[in-house]
Amino acid sequence: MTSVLIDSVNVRFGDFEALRNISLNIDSGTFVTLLGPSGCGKTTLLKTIAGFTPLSSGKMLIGGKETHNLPPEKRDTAMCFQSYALFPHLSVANNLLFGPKQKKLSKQDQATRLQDIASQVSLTSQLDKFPPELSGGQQQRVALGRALAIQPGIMLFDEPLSNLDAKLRDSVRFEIRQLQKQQGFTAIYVTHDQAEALAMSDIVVVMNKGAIEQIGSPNDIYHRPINRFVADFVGAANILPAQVLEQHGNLYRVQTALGQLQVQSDQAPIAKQTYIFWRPEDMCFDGANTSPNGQDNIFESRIIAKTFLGNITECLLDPLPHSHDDANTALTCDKKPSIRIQNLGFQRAEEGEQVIIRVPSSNIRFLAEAF
Amino acid sequence: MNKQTLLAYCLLLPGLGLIIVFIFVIISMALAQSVGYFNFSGSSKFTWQFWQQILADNQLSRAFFYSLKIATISAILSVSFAYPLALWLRDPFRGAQFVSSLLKAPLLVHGLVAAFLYVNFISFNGFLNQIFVHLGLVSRPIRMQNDSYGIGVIILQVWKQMPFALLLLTGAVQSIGHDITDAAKDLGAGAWTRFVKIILPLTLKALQAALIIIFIGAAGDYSFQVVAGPISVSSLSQLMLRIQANDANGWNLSATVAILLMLTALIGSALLALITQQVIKWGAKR
Amino acid sequence: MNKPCTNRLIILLVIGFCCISLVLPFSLAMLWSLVDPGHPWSYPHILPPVLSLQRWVDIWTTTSLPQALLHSYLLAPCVALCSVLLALPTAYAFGRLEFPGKQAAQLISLLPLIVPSFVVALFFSSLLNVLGIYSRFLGILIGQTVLFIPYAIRILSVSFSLIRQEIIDATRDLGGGPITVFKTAYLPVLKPGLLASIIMIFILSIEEFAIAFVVGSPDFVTVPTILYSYLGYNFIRSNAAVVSLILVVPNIFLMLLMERFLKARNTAVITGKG
Repeated sequence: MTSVLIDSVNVRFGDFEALRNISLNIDSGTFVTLLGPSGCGKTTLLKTIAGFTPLSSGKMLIGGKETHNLPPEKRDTAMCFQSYALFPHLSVANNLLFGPKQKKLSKQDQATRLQDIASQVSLTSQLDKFPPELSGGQQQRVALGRALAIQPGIMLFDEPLSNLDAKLRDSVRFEIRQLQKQQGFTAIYVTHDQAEALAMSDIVVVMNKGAIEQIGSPNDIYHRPINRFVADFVGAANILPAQVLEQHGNLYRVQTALGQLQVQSDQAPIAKQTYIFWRPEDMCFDGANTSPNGQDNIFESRIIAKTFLGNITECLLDPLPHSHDDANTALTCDKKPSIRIQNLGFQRAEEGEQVIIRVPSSNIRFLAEAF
Repeated sequence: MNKQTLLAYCLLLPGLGLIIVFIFVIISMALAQSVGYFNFSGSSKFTWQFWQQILADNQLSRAFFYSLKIATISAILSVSFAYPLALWLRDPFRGAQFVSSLLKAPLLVHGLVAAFLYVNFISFNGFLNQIFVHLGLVSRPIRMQNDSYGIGVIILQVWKQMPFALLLLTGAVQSIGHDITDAAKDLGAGAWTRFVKIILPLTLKALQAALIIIFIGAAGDYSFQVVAGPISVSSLSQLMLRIQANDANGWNLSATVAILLMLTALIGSALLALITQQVIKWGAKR
Repeated sequence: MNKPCTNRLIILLVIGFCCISLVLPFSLAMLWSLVDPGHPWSYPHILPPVLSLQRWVDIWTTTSLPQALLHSYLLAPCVALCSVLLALPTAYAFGRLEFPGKQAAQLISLLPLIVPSFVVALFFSSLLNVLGIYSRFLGILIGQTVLFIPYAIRILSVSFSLIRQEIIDATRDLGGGPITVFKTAYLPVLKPGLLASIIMIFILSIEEFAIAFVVGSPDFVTVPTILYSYLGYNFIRSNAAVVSLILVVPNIFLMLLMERFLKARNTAVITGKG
C-alpha cells in the first residue's frame, strides 16, 4: 500500500495561484477527503497527485518515491472522474480491462481480474453493453471498477457522486467506503459536500483559496474548527467576535454583541480579541426539561423565522439588547448578529415570539483566529 | 401522414427537391447516352457498342489506375499530415489561433491559382531551379514540371486538401473531453496507445468523412492534372473531356467514362472508409 | 520541462513551411505580374531586371479579362441570391421541424458535393442541349445555383435551429403579431447566417470552374476560365500571375468578412443562453 507526502507544493497557472504552499502527509490505507468550496484548488491538488498538473515548486513523494517528471501513466494512482470519462467506444468489459491491458497482464489474469472486478462493482450482467446504454449509477460503477482494475495503491476520487441522485449517493458512498476497507487502498476523495466528507473520511482536509485551512478527523473538524472559515463551511455555526475579560481556571468571561458570555475551554484563546463559536444544535430554548446551571449563558431573543425540517426545527433568532451590560462599541458596531438554533423534532415557538435561550458554556469554543 | 410532416416535405421541394431532380436527370442523361440514347450525331437506339469500345481501350485502364492511385495517396497523405497537427492544436497555446488560420489559408486559394503558383515555382526557369543552380546543386536547370509519376498533382492535392482534413479532424479531436484522455493516461496508456485506442476510434467518423471527400475530389480532378500532371497519362476527368471533344461518338463514349468515374469515386471512397474502419477497430481491440 | 521550447520550435517550423508554400509563391506571382514585357526575367537574373505595371495594362486592354470580370461578378450575386432563396424553405424544415426521413434527406442534400464536378458539368451541358437552352449565362446560372444550394442549406439550417422557441413564445405572449415575431425572434439570429451564406456562395460562384468551363467555352469567359487559358499548353506566366491575383485577393477579404458573420452567430448563441 502507498503513502503520499506532499511538501510545500505550489501550482501556478500564469498569474493565478491555484495551490499555495500545500503540505500534507497521507498515511497508507487512510481515507482522506479534500473538502472546500468550488475553486478552492481541491481538484487541482488531486490532479497534481495523479500527475496531470505539474508542480510549480515543492516536492511530492508517492510510496516514498519522488514523482518529479513521472507521467500519470507511470504513477501508482487511479482516478475516478467526476464525468466518469468512460470510453464510449469500448464495451463495459473492455473499459474495465483497459488498465490491465496496459499493464500487459496475461489473457488468463485479465479474465480472472475482470470477473473479480465485475462482481465487486456488481456489473457481471452488463459486461457486453456500451457506456451510453447504462444508467448513471451503472456508469459510475464502471468508472469505479475501471480504476480498481489496475489495483492502484492510491485511488483518487473527483466528486464521483455529484451526478447521482440523493438516494443512490448514500448507497454508493457506503459501497466506496466498504471497498476501501476491504482492499486497503489509500483513498483521496474530493468533495464540496461537508456531510459526505464527515461521513466517509478518516481525515478531512479543508481547503480554501488554494491553501489548506485545517487537517483533522471528522470529529476535530466539526467540533474543533480552527477558524471562522472551517467553522462556517463545515456545518452551520454561530460565530461572534469576543473580547476576553477574565479567566477562572478553564472558565472565561467574554464580552460579545450578545453581552457577557461564559466560555468553558481547556484551550486558552490565542488573543484577547478573538472569535467564539457554537453549533446551532448546542443550544436550546429555556424550557421545562433544562435544569438551571450557573455556568449556562442565558439571553432573551425574538424568533425572526422558523423552518420545520422534519427531524429538526430551525429558528433564526434576533437577540434583544442587553441593557445592563456596558456594551463594547467595537463588538456591536457590526451589524447585529442573528443566531441560528436547531432543536430536535417539532418546536412550538412561533415567529415573532420572545424566548429565553440557553447556551451551556462548555458548548462554546474559541476559534484560533484573532481580529 | 400528419399535417406537419406534409408541410415539411413541401418545404423540401424547392431546395432538396431541385437537387434530387438535377442530379437524377444528369446521371440518367449520362446513363442514357452511354447506351446510345440522346445521340446528337446519328440515330438514337440502344447499344452496348460504346461500352465495349471504351472497356477495350487501354487509355481507360491507365487513366483508371492513375486516378485511383492519385486519389488514394492524396487522401491518405492529407489525413496523415492533418492528424498530428490537429492533436497539436488541441490544447490551446499562445499563437494557436494564428497558426491554425495560417494552416487553413490554402482553403482560400483557388485550385487553378494553386496550380499556377506551383508550376511557376518549379518550372524550368522558376525559383526552385534558380536556387538549385545558384547553390551549385545542379549545373543546369532540371525539368520538374509535369513529372511522369504525378508527384506534382499529389503535392497540389495534399496542399489544397490537408487544411480541409485539418478542419474536420480538429473539430473531432477537440470534442473528445480531456477527462477521457486523462483517464487513459491514468490507467497507464502512453501517447501512442492513447492515439490508437482512444483518439482514432473516437474520431473515426470525421476521419472517414475527410478521406471520402478528399478521395472523391482527387479522383475527379481535372485542373491539377492538366496544369501539373504527367503528359503521358490522363486522369479520368481529363479523358472524359478529351473523348467528348475529339471523337465522333464523343458524347456516348464520354458518358461511359463518366459513369466509370462516378463508380470509381463512390466505390473507391467507400472501400477506403471501410478499410480504415476495420484497421482502426482492430487496433483499438488489440 | 522543455515543452514550451519544443512547442515554439514546431510553431517556427509551421510558420517557415507556410512561408515557403504560401508567401514565397505569392510573392513570386506578384513579381511575375510586374515583369516588364520588354525585359524578360530569365536565368541568370535572380530578380526581374525591370518592374512595371505594363502587364496589367496590356491584359486589361488586349484580352477579354474585363469581360470575364463582368461575367463573373454579374453571375455571382445572381447565383448567391437564387441559391439562398431556394435553400431557405429546406433549411427551415431541417432546422425547425421533425419529420420522418430527416436524416436521410440531410444526407441526400449533400449529393452535389459527391458527384465529380466535371461529370455534372459535362452532362448538364448535354442536358442544356437537349432542352434547347443556349444562353450560356442562364445555363451557368442554373447549374451553379443547384450546385451551391447544399452550402446554403447547411449554414441556414444551423441558423434556423438556433432560433429559440422561448423567444418566439415570449414575443407572442407579450402581444407581438407575426411581423414582430419575425423581427425579434427570427431576423437577429437569421441575419448573420443569411449574409454568410450569400458571401460564401458568391465566392464559390466566382471560383467555380467546371460548369463555367464546360458550359461556357469557348465564347463565355469567367475569371477562372481565363486563368485556365493561360495555364497548360500555352503557359503565359505573367498573364497567369495577374489573373491569379485578381482571382484570389478579393475572395480572401470576402472570406474574412464571412468568418466574422459566422463568429457573430456563435457569440449570439452564447450570450443568448444567459
